[in-house]
Amino acid sequence: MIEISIASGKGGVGKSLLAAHLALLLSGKRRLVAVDADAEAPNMNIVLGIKDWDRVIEHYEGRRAFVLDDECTGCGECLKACQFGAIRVVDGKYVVDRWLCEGCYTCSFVCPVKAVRFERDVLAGWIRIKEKTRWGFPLVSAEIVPGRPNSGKLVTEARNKGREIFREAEIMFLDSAAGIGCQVIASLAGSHAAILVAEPTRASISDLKRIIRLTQHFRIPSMIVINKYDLNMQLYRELKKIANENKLYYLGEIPYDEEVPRSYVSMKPLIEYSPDSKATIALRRIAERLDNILSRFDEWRLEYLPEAYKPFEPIVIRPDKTLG
Amino acid sequence: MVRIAFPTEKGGLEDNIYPRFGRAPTFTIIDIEKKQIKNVKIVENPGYRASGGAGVKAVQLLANEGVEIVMGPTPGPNAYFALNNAGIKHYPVQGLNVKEAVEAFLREDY
Amino acid sequence: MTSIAVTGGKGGTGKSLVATSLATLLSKNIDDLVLVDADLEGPNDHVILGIEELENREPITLFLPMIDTTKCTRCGVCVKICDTGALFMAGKAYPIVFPRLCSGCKACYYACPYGAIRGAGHILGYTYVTPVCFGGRCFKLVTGMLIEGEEHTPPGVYRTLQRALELKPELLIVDTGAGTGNAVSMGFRDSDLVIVVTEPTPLGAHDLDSILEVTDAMNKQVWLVVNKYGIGDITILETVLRRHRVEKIFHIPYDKAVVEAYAYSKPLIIHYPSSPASRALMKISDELMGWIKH
Repeated sequence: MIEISIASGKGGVGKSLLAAHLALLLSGKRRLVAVDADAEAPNMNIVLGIKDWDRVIEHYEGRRAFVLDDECTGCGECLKACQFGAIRVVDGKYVVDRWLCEGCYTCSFVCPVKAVRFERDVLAGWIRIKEKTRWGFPLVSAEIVPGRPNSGKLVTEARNKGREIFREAEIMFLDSAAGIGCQVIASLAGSHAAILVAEPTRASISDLKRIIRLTQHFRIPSMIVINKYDLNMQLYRELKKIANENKLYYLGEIPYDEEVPRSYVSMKPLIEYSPDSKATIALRRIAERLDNILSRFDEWRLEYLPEAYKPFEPIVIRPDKTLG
Repeated sequence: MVRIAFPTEKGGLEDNIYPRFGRAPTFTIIDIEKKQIKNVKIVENPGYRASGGAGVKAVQLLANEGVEIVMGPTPGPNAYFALNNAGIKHYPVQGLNVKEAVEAFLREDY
Repeated sequence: MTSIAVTGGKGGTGKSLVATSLATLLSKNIDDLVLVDADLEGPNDHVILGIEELENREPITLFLPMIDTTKCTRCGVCVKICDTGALFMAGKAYPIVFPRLCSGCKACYYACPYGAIRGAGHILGYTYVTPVCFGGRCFKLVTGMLIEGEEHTPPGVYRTLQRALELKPELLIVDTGAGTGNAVSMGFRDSDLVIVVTEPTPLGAHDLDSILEVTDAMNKQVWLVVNKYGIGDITILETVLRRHRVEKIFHIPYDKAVVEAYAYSKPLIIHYPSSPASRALMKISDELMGWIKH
């Protein structure tokens, strides 16, 4: 199975629009599965107009502190030590805020009477499955429980589920998490190709540069799609230059099109809602190009494989000998 | 003797190398002495259950186990740094099972 | 002190427009008003208000472990306790630290049996306090901003709120970040009233459902503002509202003046006071004033 991650750094640049349309445009020709791993804002189902699911799997992970009222002496040490403001006094009792506690153990270390306990495997998210969309391919969608921290583990589970429900699939489209942290690493690691989505804005350009560092780290051959390319021609040229310098395959561009937000409101994919719109035509062209690449994937992959291995150097602090 | 680790799902010589490093459910650790497999051990990967920092946690396990070489997919940036820091070598391998990878290693393909 | 939060699920619903407009309008009657821009990943209240430079910068510093090698016995307890993989120890070497993975929870500091962990500061971002004046009436804008590449938003939101509270306002208006994560729920958990801004689209409805899930569980008083009223289908929100507690509902009509004001960084209610959207915002502000007095 060829796993293709669609990634963009920050959200809102058209990642889900592209991921959903690639899946539905290629589904007639190829066996594929779509996974929405953007668990903080899963919206591939909305772009596709999917309203119900066949299965919902609850995802449990992490832990959360709570205070045993009978044992608590009210000394307030936990409240002082918590770095996240997750402990408060409510009606004279020490209470852990269930939306803020990340389960780090700090309060349990400072409690002199061991009154802090932990609840383990908290409901952290859901993995929703549509076995067969109207276009024939299955969709797996991950979502974080509102108020819980994001998780690379949930992303990995959703990916594994996508592979499990359709083992014969030729392609997996993975709508990657937003950001550049753990969840994105969980989306990109092990992908065979990446499609990077950017728009001609400063914020998107700096996000693109950071995500390129990650794809180069993992040596993932990558393509680029520029969305709303005609919003700023100067930055558009800058994006093309970056693509060129970093050996990104230029998969295409999508013009700014008011039909796109209207299609979201209609609960129909853009290409059905507005089959002749500028953006629809662009998406079809992009899907065709991708289809060509998939027909000669090994050859393409070798051509666009990042050349030298460029490890992404994390910032690290080594123990300081002069300290103390 | 050399100790090599492989990210795996269930673990063992017949298991495939897992396509991801930090989030592999297990590591299969193999001791090789005089070009022979001496010892096969399967350990659970704490990175598998982690919300974040999975790669570093996986490398911590390998360092504690005295692993010298890890064969598998490219680890993430932090894990890659940690491997270097611990002096553990990484050989990129994918699409093989553990036994095939050991054989490749013994043929000195790496 | 009275505290109001403005939140809205996904980005782009008009949350910041509502928060900045309400702050501007209410500052006519309230002397010590503080508006907090708690959208640390992309604060833009100052852009909407036409402020070019933020003032009074202070760093948001998180705890970051530093190993005191004169005391460290290399026992490895800190590495075991660290939940985020920010500490790593190769063999019997001293631990190294990955600051980008560290959440600043301080568990290692408390866990170390030898007092060998010292706190160093890791700068996550900055807070700013900027005075904003229109027609002789002023309020303060507190802005929190993460440094590019930082991901630990919740502690940043916490420090930004702390800075706003230090100003001892009579009325605090918090503009939360986008989404429904813990950085957002932190933004409104201490508020007396939560104003949820949504739009009549499927995505708006989905996020409204998620956010009301949290406000219900926290037992919050909620007012709903339907922005861009007139586009889309309002019935899509009605299904969601049947499941939750919402006290009042307001509508802001879809209005081109909003887009223009935003494009030219001119506050809508100052430069387009008679536009339909401005009038709708004034109505919300009047009702709020009544609610605050009450």
